[in-house]
Amino acid sequence: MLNFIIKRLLYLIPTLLGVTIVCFFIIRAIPGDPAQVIAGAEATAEQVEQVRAQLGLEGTLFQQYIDYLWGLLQGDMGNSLKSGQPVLSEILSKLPTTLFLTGASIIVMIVIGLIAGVVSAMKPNSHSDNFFMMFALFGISMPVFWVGIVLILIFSYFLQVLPTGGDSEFKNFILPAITLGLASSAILARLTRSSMLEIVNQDFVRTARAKGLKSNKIIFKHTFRNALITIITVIGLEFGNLLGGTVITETVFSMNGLGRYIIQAIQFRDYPAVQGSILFVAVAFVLINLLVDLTYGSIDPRLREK
Amino acid sequence: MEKILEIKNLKKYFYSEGKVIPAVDGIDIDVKKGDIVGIVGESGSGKSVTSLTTMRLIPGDVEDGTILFDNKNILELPEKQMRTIRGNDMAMIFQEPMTSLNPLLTIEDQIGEVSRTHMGFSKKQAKDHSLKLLKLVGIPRPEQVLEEYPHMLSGGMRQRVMISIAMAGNPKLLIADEPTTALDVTIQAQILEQLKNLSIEYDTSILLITHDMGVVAEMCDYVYVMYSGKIVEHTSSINLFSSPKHPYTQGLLKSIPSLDAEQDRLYSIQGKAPNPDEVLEGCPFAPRCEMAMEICSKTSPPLEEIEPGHFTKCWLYSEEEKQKRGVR
Ligand SMILES: Nc1ncnc2c1ncn2[C@@H]1O[C@H](COP(=O)(O)OP(=O)(O)OP(=O)(O)O)[C@@H](O)[C@H]1O
Ligand SMILES: [Mg+2]
Repeated sequence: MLNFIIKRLLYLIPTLLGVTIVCFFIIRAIPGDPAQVIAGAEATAEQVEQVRAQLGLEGTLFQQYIDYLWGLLQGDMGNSLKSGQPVLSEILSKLPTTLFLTGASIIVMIVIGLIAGVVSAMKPNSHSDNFFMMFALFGISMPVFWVGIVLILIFSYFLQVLPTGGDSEFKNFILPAITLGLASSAILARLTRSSMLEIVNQDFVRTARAKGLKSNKIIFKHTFRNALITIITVIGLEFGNLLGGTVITETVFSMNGLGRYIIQAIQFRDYPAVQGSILFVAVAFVLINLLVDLTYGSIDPRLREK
Repeated sequence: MEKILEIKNLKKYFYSEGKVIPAVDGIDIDVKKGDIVGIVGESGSGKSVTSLTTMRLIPGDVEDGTILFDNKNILELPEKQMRTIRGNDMAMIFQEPMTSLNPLLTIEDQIGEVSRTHMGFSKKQAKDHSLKLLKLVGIPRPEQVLEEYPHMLSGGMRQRVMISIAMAGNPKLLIADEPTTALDVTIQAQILEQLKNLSIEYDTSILLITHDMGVVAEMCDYVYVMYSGKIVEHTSSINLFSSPKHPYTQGLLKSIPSLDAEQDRLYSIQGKAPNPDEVLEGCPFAPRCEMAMEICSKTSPPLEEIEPGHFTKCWLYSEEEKQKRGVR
């Protein structure tokens, strides 16, 4: 077990190395020159070169990359080209908002997705099933920004019960979390339903019924638990979508999180800021995947020995 | 002797894509207390539907009939009451030992569930009880097996575990649907032996479903031969093997491989079982029957007692037809 975790954490090294390479070169491949942006439109070529030197963007790309990597190893992600502040501390100050938003939307996804999925699977083609699956279809079809705007319209503009944006208080997170989690909850609901229905037809569920067990034992202990493998896979995958979705959600709800920070950094061609934030997102993604794999083992004894 | 199970005129149909599938079409089956009763028939004859309907494990109502278990019509019981019978007074083992156990739960949990549900045992009591059951069905190193998961056990071991589960409630009736079909021959013999011993020791009646006449000969006191959703012959094992009446039964018996007789090829009944949704006039076996007469494809014969205690559903034994052919 411990070996497994250590091995997986070691895999983290090449993964992250790859992320830094891809990210470093792609952001530089986007047209646009930060030195030009900072120096201003009327700056002379000389002034621009001067700014470039200040920003540490001289030399070959390869040389720059090695410098960047060397800095990373010492815990230095460089300074933001825009503010001049260390990228690491800027990211750390934005991170809580994004983590909180992602966490809240995961809760939304799990609560709505599991309830809708399990209830639907219990009585396929019933009214409740049709209702939830209709809801899921909507949830999957509606774009995140549109859901956000509609929710703002209803709850902030007409009902005036929740704020339109910000990130200072708990109630600021309610609408964004629903906005972000809705599509994922719809996907989770569908997959929970289909995997429950698949498991219900398995021989061992028939055995459970032949034992004369109560229906909630049959549903939860025998069916749901087996469906959990699929469910957890979906949750793990959706985590990536949610993390990506924070970019839009934070923008719609003007939240000062990592998602919006990345957008602004990309617009400004703030290379160190983009590289740093994406590295954080990549680490989060890898860690969640590790968590998912560990959970498999705790649910399914067949996966434990490996 | 008293009957533990009395199935009367049971009809269970399925409806799919506008077709009617009369999987079980008006059968009567009696199981006396302590007996091992067999149902034999080829694939698709309705054996599993019969057994699952008896456990009430098939969704939907039956078309007709009653199932008296211990003199109660279980088809009329509310589901809640049926649950107290299932796994307790009436238990079942299935054909597929590899998939019939829950892969995520320990053997201890899966056997213990029964006694905890039906007898209100504590976890500790259930464990002791489960251990006893594993010893009963002859599982080596039972203490260890309790802690293990199904994937760590062989097919034969899993089927023994299934038997422990079925025996956990000390059932009056055990329905075994092809319990050994998926297992290799030596294991098969051991498991059958085990079932027979349990039946004797605990006075448990067994309804044994199989398509193997050899298993019937080994195990059963009484036999029902099923074809295309109907019973075509039933009598004691002794009668059946000494003088089988229905041409279908005769065919089944001829197709048992025998060790002493010199056989070039294994006999098998010509043709194949009718599609379940085909509507056949007359006897459903007529198209495959070597002895078919004119009447066979027109009218279905009744199930009649043609010798004391020997019933068959075949025109060959009707008085009128015998006279026509000049048999006496
Ligand atoms: N749920 C169902 N829906 C529709 N048809 C069904 C259903 N279950 C069984 N049948 C049909 O009923 C008929 C009898 O099936 P059954 O499983 O009882 O056969 P069997 O005698 O047990 O065969 P085998 O030896 O292969 O187990 C088959 O033709 C099958 O296709
Ligand atoms: Mg069957």
